Amino acid sequence: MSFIHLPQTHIALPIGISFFTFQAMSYVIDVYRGKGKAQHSIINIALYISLFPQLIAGPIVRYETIADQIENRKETWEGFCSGLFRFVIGLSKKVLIANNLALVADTAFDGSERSVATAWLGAIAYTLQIYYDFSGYSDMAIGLGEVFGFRFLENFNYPYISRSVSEFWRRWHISLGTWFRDYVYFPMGGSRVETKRKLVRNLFVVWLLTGIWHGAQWTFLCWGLMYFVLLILEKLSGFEKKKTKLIPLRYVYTMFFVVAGWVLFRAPTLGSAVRYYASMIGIGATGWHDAMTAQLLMPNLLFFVFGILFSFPIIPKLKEALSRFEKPAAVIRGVVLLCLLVLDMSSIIIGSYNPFIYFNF
Amino acid sequence: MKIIKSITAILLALAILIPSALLWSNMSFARTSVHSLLSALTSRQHRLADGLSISAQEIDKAASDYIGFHNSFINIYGLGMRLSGTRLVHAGARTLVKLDSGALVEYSTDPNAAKESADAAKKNVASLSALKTYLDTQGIPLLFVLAPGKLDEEDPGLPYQLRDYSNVTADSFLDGLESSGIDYLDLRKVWREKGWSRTDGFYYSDLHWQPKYAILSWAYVTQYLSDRYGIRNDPSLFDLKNQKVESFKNISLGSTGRIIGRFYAIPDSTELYTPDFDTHFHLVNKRVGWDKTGTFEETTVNRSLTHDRSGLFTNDMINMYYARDSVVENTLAPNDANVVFIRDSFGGMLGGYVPLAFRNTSIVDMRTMNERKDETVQSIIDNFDTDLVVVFYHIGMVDKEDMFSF
Repeated sequence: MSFIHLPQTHIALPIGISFFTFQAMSYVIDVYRGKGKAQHSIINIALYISLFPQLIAGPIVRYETIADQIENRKETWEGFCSGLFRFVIGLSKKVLIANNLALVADTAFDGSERSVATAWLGAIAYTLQIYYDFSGYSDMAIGLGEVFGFRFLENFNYPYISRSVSEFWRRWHISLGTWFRDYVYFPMGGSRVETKRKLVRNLFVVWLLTGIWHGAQWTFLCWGLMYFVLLILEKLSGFEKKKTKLIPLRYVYTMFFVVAGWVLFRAPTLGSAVRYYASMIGIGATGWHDAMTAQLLMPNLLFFVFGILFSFPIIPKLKEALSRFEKPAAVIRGVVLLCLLVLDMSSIIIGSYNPFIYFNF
Repeated sequence: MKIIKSITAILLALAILIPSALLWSNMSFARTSVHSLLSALTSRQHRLADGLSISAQEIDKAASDYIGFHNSFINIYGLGMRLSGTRLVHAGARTLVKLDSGALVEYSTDPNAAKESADAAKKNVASLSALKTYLDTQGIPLLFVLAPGKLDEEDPGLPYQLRDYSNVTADSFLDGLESSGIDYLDLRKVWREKGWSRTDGFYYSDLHWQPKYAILSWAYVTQYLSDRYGIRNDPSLFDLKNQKVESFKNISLGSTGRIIGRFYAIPDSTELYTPDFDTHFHLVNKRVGWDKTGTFEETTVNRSLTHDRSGLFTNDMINMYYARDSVVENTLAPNDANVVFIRDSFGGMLGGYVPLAFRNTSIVDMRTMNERKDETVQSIIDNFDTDLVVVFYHIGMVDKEDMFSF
C-alpha cells in the first residue's frame, strides 16, 4: 500500500502464518465457547497448531472439529490406504496441472503488453492454477491427516460449477469461509439482523477481513470488496431463490466474476490489474491474438483440457457408474494412481516449474 | 477389494520409499546437505534467512540429482511429454523445444529475451572493437569467425509460431563488426552455399555440431586465412579422406537430451576423427600441469571419454579432444604462424585440428581465463609473438558478455 507513507518494516514472517494464527485463535474461541476442552498438555496444543500436513497451506482446522481426535484418534490400515490415495491425487493436481498452467499465467501476467486472447488465456490459466494448486495442497493435507488418523473437513467442493457467487464461496476455501462465518459473521448477527444496513455492515466486515487475510495489498483488499459488493447484491435481490430456465447464464455470470476476481488477485499492483483488464477488452492490447497466444495455448492444451474437465465432478460420477464393477475399478484406480505418482516424482526430479501460491498467506 | 486396495497402497508407499532410501544412503547427498547447511549458518555474506533459503534450494536440487533411479524418472517424464505430443518442455529454469527434425534446442520464452540479447550483443561489439584497437597498435590482425547455431536462419523448424532470435541477434552483431571495421567470417553462409543441413551437421540432443562438420568448417576457415592473411595451409590436412574415423552409434544424450531423457530426445551417434598421416605436437597446459609431446592422438585425444560405454547419460561426445587453455607447437606445420585462438566449446570440438593449421597456437577459453593466474588475453597476445588473433564463437555466444571480457 505504497501511497500510505508509513515506514516499512522488513520482518521475515514464517510461512503459513495466516493459517496457524487462525488455528490458534480458533482454539481460544472454541474453548471459551465450550466447544472443545482446554488442553492441559503443551504437546497436544503444539500438535493442534503445528500439525505439519496443513501447517503451511491449510485447510484451517477449527479446534471444535478436531478436539476429540487429538486424544482419541485411531490410525487404521484403511485410513492409511485412503489417505495415501488422496495424497497422490493432491500431489498430481499440484505438480501436473497447476505447475504447468502457472507457466501460462505467469507469462501472460508478467509481460508488459498482450493481445486480447493472451490476456483471457492467462486469466483462465490462473483461475485453474489457483484451484488445482490450493485444492491439491488441501488434498495432500487431508490425505496425510488420514494416514495419521485425523479427519479434516473438506476445503473445496468443485467451486467452478457454482451458479452464483454465494454458492462459489460455499464451495471455495470452505475452511476460511466457515472460520469467518463462525467467528466473525455469526457473532455480529449474521444475516438474521433487524435491518439491511446491519447485514451490509456484517458482510462488509467479513469481506474486508477476507481480503486483508490474503495480504496487505490493495489488490487483495479490492478483491475482497468486489465479493462484498457481489454478495450483497445477490442477497438483497434474492438471486439464489429466483427460479430461472437460464441456468447456463448463471454459470457464465459466476465464472465471469470469479475469473475477473482472480486477475485482481494475481496482479502485483492495482495499476497492473487495470492494465490487464484493459487488454482483456482490447484497450491497449497488441491485437485480438498474437504469436504468444499460440505459444501459450498449444503446448499446454492438454493441461487446459484436463484442468477444465476435472473441475467438474466427473470423478464422483465415474465412481458411481463403475460401482457395479468393483474389482476392475479398483485395479484401474491402482494403476492410475501409480502412474500419477511416478509422473509426479519425475516432474519434481526434472525440476519443472514449481511456484507455491499459498505460501504467501 | 481390500486386497487390491492394500496392494495399491503398498506399491505407492514403495514407489516413494525406495528412491528416497537410496537418496539418504548416498554420501554425496549427505555431504552436499551438510555443507549447504553449514555454509548457511556460518556465512557472513547474507542474512541467515537468505542463507537458509539458498541452502534449502541447494539441498532440494541435490535431492533431485541424487535420488534413486534418477535417470529412469527423467526418462519417464520424457515419455509422458512425448505421449502428450508437446514440443515445448520446461525443466527448472530451462525450456526445451523440439524442432521439426526431432532435434532439441534450448529456448527462452521470456518476452524480453530478444531485446536483452540484442543489447548485450551491441556491448560485445564494443568489447571486440576495443581489442581490435589494441591489436592495431601492435600490427596484429583480428578475425572473428561465427559458427552457425542449430537453428537454420531460413527454416528454423520451430513449432507454435516461436521465433528464432539467435540468428537475428547474430546478424546485428555482424553488422556492428562491419561498421567497426572488424574482419569476420560468417560460417552460416558457407553452410548455405555447401548445402550442409543442420539436421546432419548438429547433434539431436545437444547444441553442438558434429565433429565431421566442425572439421569441414575449419577447412574452410584455413582456406580463408590463406587467401586473406597469407597463412598458407595444406588442404589435405583437413580432407576427411585423410582422417581415421571411429564411429560410436547411439552412445550419448547431450546436454539438452539429459534434461528430458531418451524417450523424448533422440540419442546421438558421433565420430572421432584423427589424422591418418604423421603429426607431431608439443602441448603445454599450465593450468592443469600438462607437458605432452607426441602425435595428434597422443597429445590431444581424450580416450577416457570416447571409450566409456557406461551409459547414455554419462558419455561425453563434446570433450573428445584436450585443447582448452593450451599452447601447442606443431613441428610439422605448413607455415610459421603464431596464432592466438580464442574459442568457445564449438571451437573446442575442433581439438587438435586447430593447432594442425599453425606452427604455434595459444588456445584461450574465456570461461577459464580467471583460473589462468598471472595471465590476461593481452599478456598472452604480447608474449606469443602473435601473427593473428582469431575469435571463434558460435551464434549463441554473441550475447554473452563474459565471453568478450578480453
